[in-house]
Amino acid sequence: MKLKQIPPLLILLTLLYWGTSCKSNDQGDTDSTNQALVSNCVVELTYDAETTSMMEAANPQEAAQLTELDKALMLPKNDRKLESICLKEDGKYLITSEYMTPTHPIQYPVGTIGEPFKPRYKKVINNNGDLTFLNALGETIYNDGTFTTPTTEVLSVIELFQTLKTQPAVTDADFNNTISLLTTNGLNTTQFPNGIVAARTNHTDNSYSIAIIDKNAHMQTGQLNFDANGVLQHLFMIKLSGVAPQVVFERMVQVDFINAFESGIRLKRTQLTNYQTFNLLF
Amino acid sequence: MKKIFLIFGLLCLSGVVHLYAQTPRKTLWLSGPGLTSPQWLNTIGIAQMESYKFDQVNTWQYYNNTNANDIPTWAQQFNTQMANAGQTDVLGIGHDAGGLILRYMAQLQSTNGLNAIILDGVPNQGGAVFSKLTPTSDGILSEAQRLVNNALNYRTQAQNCVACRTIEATQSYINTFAVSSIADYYRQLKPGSPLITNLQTPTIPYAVIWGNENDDALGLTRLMSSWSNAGLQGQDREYLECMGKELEQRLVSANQNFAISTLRAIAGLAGAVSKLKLSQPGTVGAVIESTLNAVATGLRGLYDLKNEFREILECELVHQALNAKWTLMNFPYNAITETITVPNCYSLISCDDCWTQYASDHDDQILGYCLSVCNEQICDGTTTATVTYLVPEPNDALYTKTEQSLAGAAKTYEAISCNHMQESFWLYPTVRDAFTDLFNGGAGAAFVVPK
Repeated sequence: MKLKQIPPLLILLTLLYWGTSCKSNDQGDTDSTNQALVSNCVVELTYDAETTSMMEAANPQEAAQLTELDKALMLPKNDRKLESICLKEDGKYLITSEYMTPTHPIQYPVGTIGEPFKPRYKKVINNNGDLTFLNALGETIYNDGTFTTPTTEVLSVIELFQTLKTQPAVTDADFNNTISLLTTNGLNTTQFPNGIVAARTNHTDNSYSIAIIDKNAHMQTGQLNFDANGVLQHLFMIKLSGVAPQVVFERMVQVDFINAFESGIRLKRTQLTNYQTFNLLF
Repeated sequence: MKKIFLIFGLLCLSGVVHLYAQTPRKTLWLSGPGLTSPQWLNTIGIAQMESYKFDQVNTWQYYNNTNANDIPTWAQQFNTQMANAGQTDVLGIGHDAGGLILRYMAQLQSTNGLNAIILDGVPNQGGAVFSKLTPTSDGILSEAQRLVNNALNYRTQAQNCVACRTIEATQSYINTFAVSSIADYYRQLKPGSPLITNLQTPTIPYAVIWGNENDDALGLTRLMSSWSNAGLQGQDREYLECMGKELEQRLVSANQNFAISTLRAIAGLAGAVSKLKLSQPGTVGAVIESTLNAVATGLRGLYDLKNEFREILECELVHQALNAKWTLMNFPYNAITETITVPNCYSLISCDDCWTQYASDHDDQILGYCLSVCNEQICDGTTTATVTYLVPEPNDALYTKTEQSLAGAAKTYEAISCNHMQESFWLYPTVRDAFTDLFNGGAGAAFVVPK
């Protein structure tokens, strides 16, 4: 059948023809939500953090079992984000996260096998659970998502900060006494040198977590999570200066474990976050 | 008088030229089977809209069941059909296996009238991919089928990793190649098959367009999108967008919940101490209880959140793995080693090593010291690390550049940023540019289609 005999198809093709390229065109409408942070935050945290992720065999002796594919999927990557978290009096919140250029970007040629995913957005705004993803021009790529932190949780965090703001400072003695009191009343703690306390909590599924509490900093500075068999699943540890709530994060180490795709070897992914800036206002 | 004849002659000549320019070129547009090649309808329509004048050889029988015959049989049938019709000056335009039929027609040297061919995304040297897509024998899974099964098995660890069921769509596509009649057809296209081995370099002018899907390392996923959109415009981004959205949304949500949990961690214990200090004697017990509950809830919350992070990582990995393995098993690649800059604290003790040690000696004292120093690493400054990564030969997600190439072409064009399914759509600039150059005479008069 000759196409010239079916003009409606040509009309359709004409309509479909405009300016298409092989690749996606993610340009969207000009975004109206790309607004400056509102100022009525009762708790506001901003930081500029660079994170580097690297993967290796959890057990170095098993590294030889990793296949070529497994190794191709273990490429290191890094990113730098500017984060801003604003909690409002009514329990609502506004969180923005913007990608910046790392100090030492790790770049691979386009098409590198196993190349880590690159986010398609430059900035994301979470306005009380509504996510808006923006490109480098500040235009909305898409507006989607229904992930919401419950208002009650935000309010309880605000209440903690308000309590600390209005009451006399917590002393080292106060903190020690409270840890002792909690231990007497059932908190499973182990005291270590240098002011470190490990507090274990068993979960209902027999997994358990150990909180690392720094008595000098008056706060939990890490957590290790174990499954029901006692195998470490993930951990994070924070290095900071100051005393809670007036602290400045310096860096954070996070470790996760996953199984390699092909060999099934247990892999450890370490993420190191260096905080370039860290400002907490309340 | 001479002048009058001269003017008359020029007028006649210009009329003949004009008349000739308006004569449509006879063309034969052949795609491959639907699994690896969209039909040319979209492009034919656009070429006509752009005023290219051509007629088409009747291909109804071919498109009615492309897999019905093998390539030599189709070539013979077209030759007979065109010879009987007395066709002359036919331009053959082939995508995928359609190009191999054209080459075979030319090789048979019949009076088919075929006098130039455009080979667009054609596996001129055979497609190694079919060694992986077709089973070695009935009842045995192909290597590609096993790959997808592995991906689906791995994905079960990431329970909520849906991403538009991208992997299932890939499985459905790959399973079709195991159907006996389809597998038989595509086995012809393997390198070293009798067909590929016996194909000779065409003696008529030919041009080559080769696709290069070079946008990222997700060629297979792009190919799947384009295949599912083959009846439209071969768009390659739907599965990627689904996958990207799912990963981005979950990761953003998890990261932001972690940020709020961090705020709770900063103020949690100090706030509890403050509340205890303010408590009336009779209410201390209640405050302690609520603090203990808050500690347990907070720890569980972070436990679940970290599991969510791991699941997102697994979801990301399974999609990367599917694409990476597809590339590794189908295309040659080079290993490149480079030095990168990383924070220098990786070479020092990590906190999980403290717990590994603790698991073996249960020495609280050592654990305490270890924990107190493990995060005190000197992370100021950087160090270097060696990383090896693999870069494949340029390909269109189905065939490599080498497989698509054919020495001696009048001109060779690169359809950059296009996967195999997109090569037969003029909608894509690099494809359209190649064709318009050919039709306008950029590779010689043999490829001209008049306007």
